[in-house]
Amino acid sequence: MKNRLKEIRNVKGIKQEDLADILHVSRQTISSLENGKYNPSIQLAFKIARYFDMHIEEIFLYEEETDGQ
Amino acid sequence: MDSKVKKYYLSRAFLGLLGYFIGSAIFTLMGGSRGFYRLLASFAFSGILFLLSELISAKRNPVLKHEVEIEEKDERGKNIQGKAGVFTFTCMLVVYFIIMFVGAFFENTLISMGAAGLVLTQLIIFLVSTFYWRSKL
Repeated sequence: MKNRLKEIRNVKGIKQEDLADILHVSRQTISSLENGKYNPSIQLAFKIARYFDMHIEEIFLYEEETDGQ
Repeated sequence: MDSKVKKYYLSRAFLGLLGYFIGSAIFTLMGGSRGFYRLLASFAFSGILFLLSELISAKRNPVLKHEVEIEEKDERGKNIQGKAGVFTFTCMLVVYFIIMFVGAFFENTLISMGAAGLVLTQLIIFLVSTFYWRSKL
């Protein structure tokens, strides 16, 4: 799953550390999310979307795998 | 994990170990005999030292305490712990099987039966916890 978290965060001018603090997660979690290494739980995805006042789909882009999974 | 948080965990592990040895040494110096009570004293001293360091750390550096709390509740961290747990479980089963076969090879019934018992215990705990979590989730 791709996401626009880094782009949105940069537009808002928020540091990874600050976003992590607001969302009650570690800075590494934010970094991993931005690098696409980690997919968030639905709860964290909602928290992120709410914080940026956006819909989840605007931040997280779901892509179906080639084998249909 | 931030370096400060890493240092925190390392210092706690070190203090726990140090407390264990100090507790053991004090118990022996006071004329205590070897065995269960020495072990108890070692663990008690380890726990006391650990708790003291926790209290001092919480007073001195509340920010670090907050970072540690976030680290412990972090969903990615929990995910990593889960994956590491599954890997450890599998590795331990392999290790027990190796010990079991080594015991059987050297015709040491105690070792092979002990290892078999550990495999069985681990599998029973796994099945019970799976059953429990199935009913919960």
